[in-house]
Amino acid sequence: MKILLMGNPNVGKSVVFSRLTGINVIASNYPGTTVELKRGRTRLNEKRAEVIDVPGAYSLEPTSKAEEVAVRMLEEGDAVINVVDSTNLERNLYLTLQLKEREVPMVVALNFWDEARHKGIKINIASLRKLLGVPIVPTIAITGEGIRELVASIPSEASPSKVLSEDERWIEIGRIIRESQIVTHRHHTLLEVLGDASVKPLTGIPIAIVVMLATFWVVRLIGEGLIGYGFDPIFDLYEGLVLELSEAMGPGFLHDILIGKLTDGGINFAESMGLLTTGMYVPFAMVLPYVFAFYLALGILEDSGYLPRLAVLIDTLMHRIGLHGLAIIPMMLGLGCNVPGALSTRVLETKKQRFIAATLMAIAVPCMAQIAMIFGLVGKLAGVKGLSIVFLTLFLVWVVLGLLLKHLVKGECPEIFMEVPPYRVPSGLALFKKLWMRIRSFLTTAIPFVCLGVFIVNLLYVLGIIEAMGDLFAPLMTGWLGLPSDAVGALIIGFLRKDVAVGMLLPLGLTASQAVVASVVLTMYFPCVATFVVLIRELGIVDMLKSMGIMVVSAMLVGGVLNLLLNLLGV
Amino acid sequence: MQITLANLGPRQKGTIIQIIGGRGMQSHLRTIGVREGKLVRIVTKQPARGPIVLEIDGNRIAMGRGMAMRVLVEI
Repeated sequence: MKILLMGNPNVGKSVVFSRLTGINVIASNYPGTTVELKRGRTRLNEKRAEVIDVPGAYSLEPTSKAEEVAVRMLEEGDAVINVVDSTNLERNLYLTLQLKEREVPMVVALNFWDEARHKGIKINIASLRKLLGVPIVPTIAITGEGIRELVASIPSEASPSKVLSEDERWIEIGRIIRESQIVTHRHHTLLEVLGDASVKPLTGIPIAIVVMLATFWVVRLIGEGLIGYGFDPIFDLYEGLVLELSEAMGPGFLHDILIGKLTDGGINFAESMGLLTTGMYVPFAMVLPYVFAFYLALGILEDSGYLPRLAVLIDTLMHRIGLHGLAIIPMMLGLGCNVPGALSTRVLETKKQRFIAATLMAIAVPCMAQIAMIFGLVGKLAGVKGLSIVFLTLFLVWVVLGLLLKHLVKGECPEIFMEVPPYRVPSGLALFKKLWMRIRSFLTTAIPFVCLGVFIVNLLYVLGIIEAMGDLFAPLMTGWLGLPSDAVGALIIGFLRKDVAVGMLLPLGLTASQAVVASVVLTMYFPCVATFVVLIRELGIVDMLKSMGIMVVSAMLVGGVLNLLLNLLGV
Repeated sequence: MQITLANLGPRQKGTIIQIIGGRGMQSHLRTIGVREGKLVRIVTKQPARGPIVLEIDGNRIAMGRGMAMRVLVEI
């Protein structure tokens, strides 16, 4: 048996899903968090049932790619749990009536039941049940209240229903609301006042600047703190252990693979390129601290409901590059990891917007793993000035490329039209769960890939492939980009993992300007394999080929020009 | 007096009387809450013809100017 979780966007379907199946999925406070189907299992009357978390939809007439998925799913489901936002009953009932017309067994979950009470909204469940003819269960998904009753209330058969016209549905909804809901007048709450202040330009722009600076500051503070006081001391202790192992093993191929090169009889964890040294140090001590800090900050931005407000504020800027405000979501998620960033382009309505957003993100938005390594490389060799040049260049690429693509790509650029959800105080437990999910996914996907990357680096060096490729591409790498020919190895490995690729540049003895150019080129030239696969799926092979062409050409162009400029200015 | 939603000033209120557009667009606006008969208040209008934020039934909705010009309100 298949149970579908359906409802308007941002009503808490994913939280209900996590509660029902015990499988944690990402839930946030903005419409369009879930863009693909998530499947899990639950128990229904001692039998097992499949539960499917369906992307939110306002009606069964789809207006975005995520909504299309939702409507298609309805054919497959044996029963529907219609999750409804009780603070927004009237609007939510439209989909409820449409679902009921399909005559699938259905139960309605009145979610945010506590919030409705606080807002002075009283819903008469008995009367609503009678009018709709389906079981109604009040729920507070975040605490788990009502979830058990919800599953138990799924009816075995659908109640018969006739198909209504749009006008008839709204008339029916009017009748239901009049007979089952009482709203007492109330004043604006503090969170509402704050919510409005953050979309009004006069107060909103200063708030946005403060929020962004604070985010950046918190990520740096936590990231650096974890490295300096946590991971570096641990690796200092670990060094002794590895050195003993090194002595016991003696030189040879195995030593090169596991421990790598020794520097003055000690271990330079960032540069030695062994599986037990660099293969551990890069993911744990260089990348993980920043990934942790970033996802903590992102979780707060997501769950508070700030992101849609930021989307409204930057909407005008985004229109200049063929997108609209909501495209801030793929960009922000892309900063964590480009894979969820690429998936979330589905929140955009047209093919043109999705192409532009995916291409810009893949080219100009480095993921946190890569950013952390760029901090390590460029920060050491070229300081804050070098870092500023890297990120300013990427931002300019994002803007200029967007301006071009807006005019070159055919298609529509519709305006923003979305619900701005209320501010909510993030739940500590929910934040922690989400952070843990993201860290776990980083650890389980990144570490094998980093180790594989380090292993392949060794193999490529041993087999002389990097040298051969270096000679082959010398005119481009050295002549045009001004990099040592060995740097071609980083471009090869960059396809697998960008953080390892930046790490490969560390022992090359780059100058400040070379470090800047290499970081920019490595960000732009191609996505990592994980992002590549998702992009093919999302854009289709033809558009992905176009996007790839743009990436390679613009990376070489920007890298070369940057090299010339930096040399000319003597930076 | 009837004006478009785009011409309503910040903090001004009006009642939606008509949505001008195709069936699909009308229906889409209604399902998000922009519906004939609803009282609407402008929360803010972004500069440079940027989007408008509305309050309807206590909910906030962001909408581009082009779309707002197709919603008629009575003030």
